[in-house]
Amino acid sequence: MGTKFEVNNDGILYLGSQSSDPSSPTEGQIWYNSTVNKIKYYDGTDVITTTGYYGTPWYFDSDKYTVYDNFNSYSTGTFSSNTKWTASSNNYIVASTNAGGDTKEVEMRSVDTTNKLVTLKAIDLTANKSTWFRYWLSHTYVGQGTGGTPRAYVTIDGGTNYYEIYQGGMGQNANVSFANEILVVALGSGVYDVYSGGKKVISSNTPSTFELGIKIQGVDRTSVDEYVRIYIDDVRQQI
Amino acid sequence: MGTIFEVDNDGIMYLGTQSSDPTSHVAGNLWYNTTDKKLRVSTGDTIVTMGDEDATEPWYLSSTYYDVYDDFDSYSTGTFATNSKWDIATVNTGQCNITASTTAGGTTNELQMYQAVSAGGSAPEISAIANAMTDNLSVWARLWIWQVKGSGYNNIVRTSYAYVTVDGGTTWTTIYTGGVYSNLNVKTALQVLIVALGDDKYDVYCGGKKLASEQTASPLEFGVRFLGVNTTFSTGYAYMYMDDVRQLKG
Repeated sequence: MGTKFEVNNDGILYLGSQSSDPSSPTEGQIWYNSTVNKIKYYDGTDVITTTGYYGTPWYFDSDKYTVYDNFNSYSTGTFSSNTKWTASSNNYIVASTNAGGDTKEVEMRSVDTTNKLVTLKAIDLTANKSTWFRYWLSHTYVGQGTGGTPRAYVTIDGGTNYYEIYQGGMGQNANVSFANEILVVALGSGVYDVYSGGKKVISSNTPSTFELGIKIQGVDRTSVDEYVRIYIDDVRQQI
Repeated sequence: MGTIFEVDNDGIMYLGTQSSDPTSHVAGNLWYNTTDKKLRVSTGDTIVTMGDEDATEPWYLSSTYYDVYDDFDSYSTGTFATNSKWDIATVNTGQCNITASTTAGGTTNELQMYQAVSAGGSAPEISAIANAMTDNLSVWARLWIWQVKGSGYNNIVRTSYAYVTVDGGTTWTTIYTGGVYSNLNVKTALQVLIVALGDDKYDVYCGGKKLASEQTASPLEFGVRFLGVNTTFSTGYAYMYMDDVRQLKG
């Protein structure tokens, strides 16, 4: 056997200090990495970097994610397809903080008449990385009579399969508004779970290409003013 | 001094392997659990599981890190009254039931907060406040809102509001507003996350948006409230389901 670990007179165990991780650790070994100032251990498969405990989800901690797109770099106006996004019509970049964003958000707007469909799809996200975005939904109806039943959906395979995350129907001078979130948990090897509002809506899905998207479907109305708006900001992906 | 830990020639401490957590421990005890491959430390009162900073899931999706405060499965279906865990208050026609349902993604039973108001009736209100949570630990709950306008039609809108509190109801934060019309409905799932910041302070998130910052609560009393407004001519219904209220382990 090699070094014996002893404690100092203060009774506190001293782990020693390693400037780099060991090349061939054994399950159950623990050390302090002085380069990143973290305690690490080996679980038999991976070196685990400890983080105390889970006080907050990773997507609230800016050290743990990259902002895929916070939309602040786009000009206000219609948001069209580009290298990052495939977008249908009725998308806008607006200056708003509805979803808690910094400055600008994408507004997906479905306005009465002919079941208007609006889609937005991220096309260059990194596969096998957990991804998160927040949206804020506002459904407004100003008019007489019965409103429609618009819906919202999420996809992770570019739109081959969509899963319903909101259904709404209401009447005169009413509105529905709330914030919600989509969390895609990467399970590795191209497998993903998707949560909406904390509820698992897609389980162990294996898209051929990871393309996260959202779709809102408007209502078939021609004589009233009914709007469904979804604001998206700060699409985040785990580092 | 007790056992002196020895190490291999690489100079790195080897904690040994424990297939289960010790039944007795003192603050500062540290061990490696081979069953779930996690590092644990004792605070004296509780056991803290060290997190993995590269984990892909939030703590509330991994049963390693939370205790189920109440999944409601242990209750019989029927009217849900005040008990050792919950203070329930209803006003007017508001009702609180345990239903056998999986609408909020639960396993068996859920807490259903039900509003029904007749034409000309008064605004129903229901609240459920937890009264035995551990202070300074984060809390999570999933909600599912289903708002239905009953039969008949008129020009009066039925509106509901949902709120959340961390201080037993002194301060309420709005998380949802909704209005429905004849024979229509609104459906959506929401989640509430209370992040404990220490020193009896909490941030309140709903749907990933921070709705309240550094609210002080001592003791922590998490709660939800569902409020309807009265209609003049018609009947309206609204349901909010809550399931799997969870709290971060020690």
